Amino acid sequence: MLLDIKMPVLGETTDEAEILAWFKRVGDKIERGEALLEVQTDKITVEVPALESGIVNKIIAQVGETIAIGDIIAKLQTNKAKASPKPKVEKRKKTIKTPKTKTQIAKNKTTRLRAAPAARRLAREHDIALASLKGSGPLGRISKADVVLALKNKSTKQKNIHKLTAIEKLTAKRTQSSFQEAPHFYIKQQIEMTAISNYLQTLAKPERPSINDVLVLAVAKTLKKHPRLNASFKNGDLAIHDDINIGVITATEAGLVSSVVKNADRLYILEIKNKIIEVRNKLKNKTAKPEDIEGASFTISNLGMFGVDEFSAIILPPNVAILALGRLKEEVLVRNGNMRIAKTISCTVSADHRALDGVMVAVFLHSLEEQLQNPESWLI
Amino acid sequence: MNITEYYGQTITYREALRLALDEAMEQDERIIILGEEVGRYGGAYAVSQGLYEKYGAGRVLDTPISEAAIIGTAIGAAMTGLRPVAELMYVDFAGIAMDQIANQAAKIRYMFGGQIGVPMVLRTQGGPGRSAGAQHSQSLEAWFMHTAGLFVAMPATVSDAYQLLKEALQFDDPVIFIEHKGLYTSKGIFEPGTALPFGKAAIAREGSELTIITYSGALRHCLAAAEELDKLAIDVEVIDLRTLNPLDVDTFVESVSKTGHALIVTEDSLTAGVSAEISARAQEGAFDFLEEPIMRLSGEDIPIPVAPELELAATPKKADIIKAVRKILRR
Repeated sequence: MLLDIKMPVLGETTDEAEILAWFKRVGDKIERGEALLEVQTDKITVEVPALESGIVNKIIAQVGETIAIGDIIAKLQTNKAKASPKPKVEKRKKTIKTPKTKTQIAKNKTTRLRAAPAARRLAREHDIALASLKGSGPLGRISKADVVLALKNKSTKQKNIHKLTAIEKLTAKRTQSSFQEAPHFYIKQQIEMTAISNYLQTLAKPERPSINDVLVLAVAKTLKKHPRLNASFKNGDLAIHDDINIGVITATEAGLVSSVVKNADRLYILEIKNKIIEVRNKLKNKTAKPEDIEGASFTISNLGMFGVDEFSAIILPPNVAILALGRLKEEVLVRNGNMRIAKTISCTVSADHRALDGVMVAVFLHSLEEQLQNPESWLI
Repeated sequence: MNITEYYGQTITYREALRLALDEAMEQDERIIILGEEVGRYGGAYAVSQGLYEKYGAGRVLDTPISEAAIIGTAIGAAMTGLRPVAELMYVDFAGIAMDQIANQAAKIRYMFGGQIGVPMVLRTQGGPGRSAGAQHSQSLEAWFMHTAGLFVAMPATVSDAYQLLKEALQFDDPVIFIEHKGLYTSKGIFEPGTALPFGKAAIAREGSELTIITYSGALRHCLAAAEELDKLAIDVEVIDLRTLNPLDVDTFVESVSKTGHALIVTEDSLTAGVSAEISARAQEGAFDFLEEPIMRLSGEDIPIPVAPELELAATPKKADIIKAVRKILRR
């Protein structure tokens, strides 16, 4: 009898799936349990086995089509007479409801992938999964031409793929693990910068430090008083660092890196300014050494120069906190019933709640604000 | 004689061989010919015709009908300073002389620590195509190819016949020189050329889609098939191996790597034959480039029948080659 093959139920929340490959063609024989096609849902890639033995009579849904669960995708000619449909239906339902994952199927698979050596080589060189291809050769063997065709399709489909650089890949890995492992919380404070800003205006231009340089020094000095933020969370304990090494997130062609200012709390402002410029140039000329970009005990990310008001950053392990800076802007401040125009900057600390709590971060920010109100004592 | 007189002329395969012998005998008086009917009769296939008259009974020796004695005599002569050309009337008769060939000629240099060799050329002929029957039509090159210590040459063209024989006559070690009984009357332009080293295959026809690897008498069938296939827009490369030892693996591996498809055509029987060796080497060298399994088209594993129709059916011919190529390419 002619049996309808339907898109099987592939999970409780899945209502459609894309056909990746047919392993059989019209006229091919298939045994019960043998892989008939491969489909992809929004979550997984699954091989769908034949539920009956027979001959593929018709393929209705083509590779690349997205089909609703339960829709007919092919027809199978079986030897069985049309009798006793009831138990068959039950059996089908049962099997359909437990789709096997790819690894499970690989274990019990009786049919192996057939591919010519030249096809395998080409697929290997271009990162093409042979299992996703449909073989045009005898017994479904994947030929070189099949891979060439897939390559053509791939290149048209994935024209805008940007290959991550090594640094971008590392950033991806580090931020992902940080965001998954470290319970982030965020505390934001608007800090007045009027005094700093006015003071900087009095300095001659080439030597004039930037707001960013000043904040590096101010943060370093503040961390000295709040060492728990200058620490690493390791094996369930907090390793508090003696040295205060401030990492400043720097954008390069190859991705984001930290320019590290070692012992920033003990440096003069111009030393900090020069160090940051030096590392930036080294990064540009690709002569930066590991010590220039590694070993930060606390990190600052500044998007102020892009006009960003405020944002929050992801902690870079093994640090326990990161400070995100917005732009310097003018605001109306109301203090003691008076209002005035002031320059402020938004400071957002992302902190790891395994190592720190809200009070600690709030106190740190308060301390930083105090530091920034009296530049004369430390900035000159 | 003046070999340059023949340059550019159309001559037969048999004449090319005779020219090589004649010229070499003129240049090197250590060269002698011995075999059954090679003297007064001029050779069973008339290769040595005229040489007895020219060089006399001292250098062209008619022997008794004893293959073991012919080869044994030639080995002894070679070891003591001559350069004998021994003729085995049919390669099928090698069995009688096989101990002399495989255990003596092939091994003497090794057994004597390299001090002495056997500069002997064993000329013989094989192959089907003349209704010569099961005991006179075999292609036994695999026996010699399988025996360490023997060089094996199997020329397919007029020019190669001359060049390879001239080259063989320079060797200080034994060469099994197997001619093809179906080629003696084949003609070709005798091209002046430099000496042809052993182990250098010829690309007899350039192509891009499939490589046919062949040698000796099967070459003409392959080239004819390639012409037909060309009309079907199937572009086939044909490689003539020329010598089986040394075997020019590099040339056919490179070709198969280029085309991704290979068909090996030989007239010897399929099982454990020359085609099996070539197939294995091609697979090892070109594996990553293969688009289809390497196929072989060889003689049936049967005694070659005497009836012309059956003989034809027992060995590869043009139509079989075309069919095999189309099957591989599925076109």
